[in-house]
Amino acid sequence: MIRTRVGYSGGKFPNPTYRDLGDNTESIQIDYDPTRVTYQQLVAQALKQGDFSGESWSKQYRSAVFYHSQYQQKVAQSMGITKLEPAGRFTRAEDYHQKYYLQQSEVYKDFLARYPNAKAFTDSTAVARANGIVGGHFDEKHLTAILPKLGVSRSSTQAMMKMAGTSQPGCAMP
Amino acid sequence: MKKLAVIAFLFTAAFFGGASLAGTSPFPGGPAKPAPLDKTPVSKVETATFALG
Repeated sequence: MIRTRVGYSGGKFPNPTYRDLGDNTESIQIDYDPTRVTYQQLVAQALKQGDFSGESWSKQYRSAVFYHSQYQQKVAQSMGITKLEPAGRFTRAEDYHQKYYLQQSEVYKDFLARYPNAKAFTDSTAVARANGIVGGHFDEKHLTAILPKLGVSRSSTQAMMKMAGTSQPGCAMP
Repeated sequence: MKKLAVIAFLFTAAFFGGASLAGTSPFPGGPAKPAPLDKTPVSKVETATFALG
């Protein structure tokens, strides 16, 4: 997994914002290395996180796969997803939405010092990992391996080690 | 196992924040000092987009 960003997609309304999405939908975009993670794995995770059954009650919050290739379309279809649309324009959400967990964390200042520019912050693989760590999605073994590559202070390293495995099963926003 | 952990956190961690912070940007601006992980070469990049409402 290389980088992630949240934003708005699927609509024709130009320049969507959090306050005024028009017909766009809140979405996550993931850049990944297909030699290390398969699209099938991503769709499988999407199926766990989103509600792809029934009708969505709003355009802002709905589940859909926005496919970037025929291959992605076929994979998603083969996994039972019917809410499929070709990926069109994706507008990045406002800065304060990106890596939200990390921005609320005690270790955020270390990353802000390294990435004082919003785009560089959002596009950083290290920041994506840190956001996952703050979310409690790394175990101790993987934390030990990844922390030296994040370039953070000793105090932040110690703080992040304590976050190992602290996510709440089944809870998307601990 | 590692792959699954990475996938899981991406979907659970990259969420929208609260509207109470609307209109503020916490970024002062300036050049980045990339962490070692961001200097690692990547062989191939593809993009996936999902809405998970």
